[in-house]
Amino acid sequence: MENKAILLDSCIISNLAGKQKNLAGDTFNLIKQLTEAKNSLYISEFTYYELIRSATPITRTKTLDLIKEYPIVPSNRTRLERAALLYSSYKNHEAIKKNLHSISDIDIFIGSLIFTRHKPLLLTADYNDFPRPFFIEKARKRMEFQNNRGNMQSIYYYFFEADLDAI
Amino acid sequence: MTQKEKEKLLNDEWPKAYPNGKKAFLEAMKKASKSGLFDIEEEDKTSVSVK
Repeated sequence: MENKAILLDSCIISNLAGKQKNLAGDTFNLIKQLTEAKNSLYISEFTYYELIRSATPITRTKTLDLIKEYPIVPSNRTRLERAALLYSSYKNHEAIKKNLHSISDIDIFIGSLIFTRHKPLLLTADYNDFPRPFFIEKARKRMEFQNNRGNMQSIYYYFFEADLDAI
Repeated sequence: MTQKEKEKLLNDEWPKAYPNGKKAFLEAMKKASKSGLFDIEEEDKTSVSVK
């Protein structure tokens, strides 16, 4: 994967900076690998909000240091209208509208950011927050780590591309 | 929504990446990966979330 714009979902950053050491290290290695392969990594302003919201007074400075290095894709009129279009498309989709309550507005906004002609990708661990047919899985990466109980656990990271014809 | 309106929504340039350069970016990520800034839930979920 080279020369792509990649939007990192909030869960990727929280895994990077979280207490699961192996997962944090593997997430860092993936981010490093993607950066060295000339991809451009981004976060949305709502991820910025989520990360600041989760910081304590003690971790606030470190959190700000972390996210100041990310280019942020901010909201604007076009992006908010596109998020509303994606929401309407979900509501008109028989299978998705039943589960629409489980997809947050933040996830709808984050997902809608990649609906552009430039074909950026979204990297997330939250498969169900970005439903088919709107999001096409381009790749996945298995992340194995030892959890706090000492057991091996695995999760997947997914690279999604938007299907522009689905909205 | 007309096709023209939809096209306008889909043509969207993102900002320039790495405002302080790639080196500063990777250094901050490296520090973050060692910091344990966020608590992570450890249940058998397919994802983890910010608390």
